[in-house]
Amino acid sequence: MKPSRELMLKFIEDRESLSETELETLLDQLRVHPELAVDLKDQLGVQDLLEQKFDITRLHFLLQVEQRLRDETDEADDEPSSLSELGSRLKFEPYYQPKSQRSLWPLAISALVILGFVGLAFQIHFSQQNNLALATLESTEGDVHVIRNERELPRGITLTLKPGDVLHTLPDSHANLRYPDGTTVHIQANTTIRIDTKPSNLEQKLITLQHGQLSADVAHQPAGKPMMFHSPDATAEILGTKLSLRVEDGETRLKVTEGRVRFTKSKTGESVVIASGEIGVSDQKSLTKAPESWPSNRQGLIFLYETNDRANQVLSIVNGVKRSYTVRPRGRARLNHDAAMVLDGGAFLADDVDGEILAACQQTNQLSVEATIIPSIAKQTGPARIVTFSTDISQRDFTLGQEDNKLIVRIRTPQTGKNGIGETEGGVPVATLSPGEANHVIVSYAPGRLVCYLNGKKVYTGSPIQGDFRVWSAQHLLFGDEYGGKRDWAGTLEGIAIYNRFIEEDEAAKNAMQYRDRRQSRDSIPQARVVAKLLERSEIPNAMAIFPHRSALVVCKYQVEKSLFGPSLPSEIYVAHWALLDGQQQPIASQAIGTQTELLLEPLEKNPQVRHYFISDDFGSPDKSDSPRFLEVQR
Amino acid sequence: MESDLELEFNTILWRTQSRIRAFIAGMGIAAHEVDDLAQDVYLEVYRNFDKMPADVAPERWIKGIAKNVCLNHIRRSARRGRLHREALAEILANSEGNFESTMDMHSVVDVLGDCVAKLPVDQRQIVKLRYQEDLSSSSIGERINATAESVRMSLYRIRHALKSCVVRTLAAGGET
Repeated sequence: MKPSRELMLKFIEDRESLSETELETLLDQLRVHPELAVDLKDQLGVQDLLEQKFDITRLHFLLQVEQRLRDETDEADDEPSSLSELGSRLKFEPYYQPKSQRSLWPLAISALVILGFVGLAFQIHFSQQNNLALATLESTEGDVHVIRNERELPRGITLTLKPGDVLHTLPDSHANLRYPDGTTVHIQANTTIRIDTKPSNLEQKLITLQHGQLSADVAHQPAGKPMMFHSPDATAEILGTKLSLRVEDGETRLKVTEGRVRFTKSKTGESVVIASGEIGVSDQKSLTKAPESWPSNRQGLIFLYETNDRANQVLSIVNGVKRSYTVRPRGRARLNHDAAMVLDGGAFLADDVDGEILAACQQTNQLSVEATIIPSIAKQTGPARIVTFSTDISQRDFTLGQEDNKLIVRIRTPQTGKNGIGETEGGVPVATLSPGEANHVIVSYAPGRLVCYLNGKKVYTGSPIQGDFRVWSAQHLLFGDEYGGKRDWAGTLEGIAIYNRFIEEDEAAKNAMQYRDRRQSRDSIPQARVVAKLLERSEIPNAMAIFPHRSALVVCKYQVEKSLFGPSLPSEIYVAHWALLDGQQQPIASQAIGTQTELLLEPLEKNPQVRHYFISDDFGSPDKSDSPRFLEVQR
Repeated sequence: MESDLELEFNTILWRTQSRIRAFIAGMGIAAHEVDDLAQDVYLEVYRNFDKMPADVAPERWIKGIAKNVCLNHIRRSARRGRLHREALAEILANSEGNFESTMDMHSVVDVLGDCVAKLPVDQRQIVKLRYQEDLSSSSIGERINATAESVRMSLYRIRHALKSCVVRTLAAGGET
């Protein structure tokens, strides 16, 4: 071994091991042989990287830096007291090279160097404690964009997200993030998040939900280092749980399915702990929580119909027996992909509840009707019947209807008569309904007191109706029309609950929040609107052929002429239409081949409510790869 | 909510810390002082964040700070051979081998991990004893029945092999 090499090796092992003379000798050698200096530097560099990787005492460098920064800012009163303050004082200029000269890839790869190195070290020594807050974009579907330093990153790669990265999902798209500790975050469609880290703790995960919805399965987090979800209104701190978070319409909604989450309103600092099975809502004015289950209080519940795919069970007030309510379609009434009632020229009749309602309400002389109402159009007349317990257009015990865009209430008492009108003009207007939107409504009555809550807020209180229910008689409960017809209502209806008690505002607010949460937690179904030409039609099923069923669908082949909105579709598509509803042929049966028509389409596979109906399809077995089936959902 | 500036600072810290620490070690700083000095470096970065030039890559600017911090550290120390150490640090700081430039561009850590895994069993054993169990060459020699000098030489060859493996793998466009 050359003397210089031997000195070098001693120096690499221990920088204090060389005598002054040996150090001078080594120095002389390095001056004469620059390549030896390069070799020594490389050796020292590789050695340090190996120590960073294997030496347990060097794993917390980032935390140590953070602590030093905190100590520094705490000590200096006249210095910026936090990084935030520093940020506000500095005239910060971009420090990267100009974008035009800069490739993103070295940045991304550099980040991976760090992340990979630290991650590897943790894997070796602390695999069970690998909590560095570095999320990987594990999978995406549809249009998902990652913006870094105002530039979009290439798609289709497994990407480690950096602090400051913004992820944006477009309609019908979603993304999944995974952290090294197993924490997963599902980013739903139409959502924008920002990946952050908490500056005071670089192992702490932080996601800012700017808009949209996400759900997370958070692994157990170290004490004092909860995962943080920020929204414009609130912060949720999670130590290990499953949750979903949504920002929409000026409010932040948190639902916890496992564990407990501290939910803090940003403006006031007010906080509540949201436990499993609860939801919390923070908006401009308030921070509230409620049980997830709907309705929040089943006392006095007579009838329940959430959607057709739910059990809709109620414990009978009259005989104590648990029973499950169902409804039967009439006319063009049908279900949508959420199994909610779609009403435009038909009605749904509730089975075997009429006597129960009559008996239960006459016990208390109180009534509350709750429903989530989505009118198709603003102006309806009759009033068009939304929820009615009646026999014909002039006999009822109660009705919720729509006249123009007003919600109308009729309740029969000795004072209001058989039609429940009394001195009013066709009933009591209690709220304004918004067409195309979900209007959560509770109308509550006790003798002399009528109240209406719209989306959890009291919008009407008065005493235009007086009297009890002693004059009530047997009627029929139905939705979307009068029992005898002639009062069609157009819209979508779900979440119906009827009680024999009065409901106060707190409960109304909880129920509205709970039901809204239920609706929002459903998967969104992609829709496309196109103008298309009818090319071929499968054989129209006839009522005899499908007996004892009364409704059936037919698949037609169309040429897409124009896409109006939604994802692009193949030039030729196969669309299922309702051909028979309640035994009656629908317009598709008589539509001429070659005619153009506007279609609102959803994937047939996303509409489970049609599965048990007969579908006439002469175009062979559907091959999802090149001839997916759609369902026409508007006509 | 944290400011953009905080996030940018964190980003730079994450991106560069491993290489800056290796750079400091490469100036001949004692192993147990490397991380302390690296912390000093990032404090300086923090204090002078508004002075970071727009036309220079952040890492290069931070390396300049690191060099000054290390030289000041050596100058302030009362160790023997202080002037020699300062000169040595200058020489090493101004040397830039292929490996260092490679480190700037590629995911060297992933590749390095793979390269360690590819070492023969006896060499991996030495790496483990030296870097995980923090044994001196003498202690390792006692364990494997070799002299301290031969252990140092083995470690030198291992590091050289790892460097070559990394450079070779990256030159071939290898991804881990």
